[in-house]
Amino acid sequence: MHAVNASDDELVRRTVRGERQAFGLLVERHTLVVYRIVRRMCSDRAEAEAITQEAFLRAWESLRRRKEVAAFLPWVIRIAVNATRDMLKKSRPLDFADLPPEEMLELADTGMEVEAAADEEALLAQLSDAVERLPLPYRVVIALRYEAEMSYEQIADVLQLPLNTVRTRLHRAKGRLRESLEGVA
Amino acid sequence: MNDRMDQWLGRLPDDGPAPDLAARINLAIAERSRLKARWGRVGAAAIALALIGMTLMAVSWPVSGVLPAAPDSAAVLEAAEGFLSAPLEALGGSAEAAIAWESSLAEGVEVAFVVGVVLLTLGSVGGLARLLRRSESLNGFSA
Repeated sequence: MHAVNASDDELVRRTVRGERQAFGLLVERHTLVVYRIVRRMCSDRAEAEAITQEAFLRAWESLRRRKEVAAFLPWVIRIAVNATRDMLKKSRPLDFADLPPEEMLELADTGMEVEAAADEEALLAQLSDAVERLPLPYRVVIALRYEAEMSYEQIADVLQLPLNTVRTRLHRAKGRLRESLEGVA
Repeated sequence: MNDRMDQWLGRLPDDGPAPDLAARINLAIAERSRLKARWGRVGAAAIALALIGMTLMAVSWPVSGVLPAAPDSAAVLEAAEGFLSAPLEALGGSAEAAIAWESSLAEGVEVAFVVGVVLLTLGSVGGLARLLRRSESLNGFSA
């Protein structure tokens, strides 16, 4: 089978055997989706690129040591989410999630007034800003659900959370986003 | 609004990564791989040096007998006492004691033993550098 058409599992096996080119194909195949998830979690593009790189480096080093990975993409996404959390902890000691709800809503609403609600592009930009202002646990589930198009079960697996917690977080995240768009849409 | 919210969230604006991000990641991995190989060689060389050093020491040990005695304790005490009263004299005394000890070393120990000690030291330093490098790469952020 030609390497380009090989499945993720096959490429992982080849990587474990020491073929760096096989891992290169995995990188090319999944960089975009990993970047988009990370980008949704952190506000800076360069930072998101650095974290994406770090996630793949960690994955490569880990594959050199271990023999089995159940599914490559969810696994590397988990690494990326953890790397993003690590980075955010270092750079931002006080997360929004640590703030009292009133203060959090106040911060979330900052700069959220748009001039016209009719323009969908403006609305999406506004929604994107609102996502960026969500507490990290909510941003993560939004990113996995809508950037990686994962099912609730897959999200629960990646984040190693109970399914109901995932459902609750998504529900609350969307509730907050609705609140932030009130009067706009 | 829930359905519309799902649609909107699926179409959020995205600035996208740099077009060469995947290529840069692969370059970083290649660089990390080269570094690992290089430090792997350092580690292997360190182990080899240490083993050769220990072998040389073991082989020359029976010939050299026990290690030469440390400087005469009376001389050391005298030098230490002198240090408190007259530093220059004490330094002179210490230097003389050290030279005397070194001479006894040179007389009592075979060259092979000294080479063994040097190789073992080099191997230990190399191994330590390898360990430090490993912990640094685990904590570092970028390649």
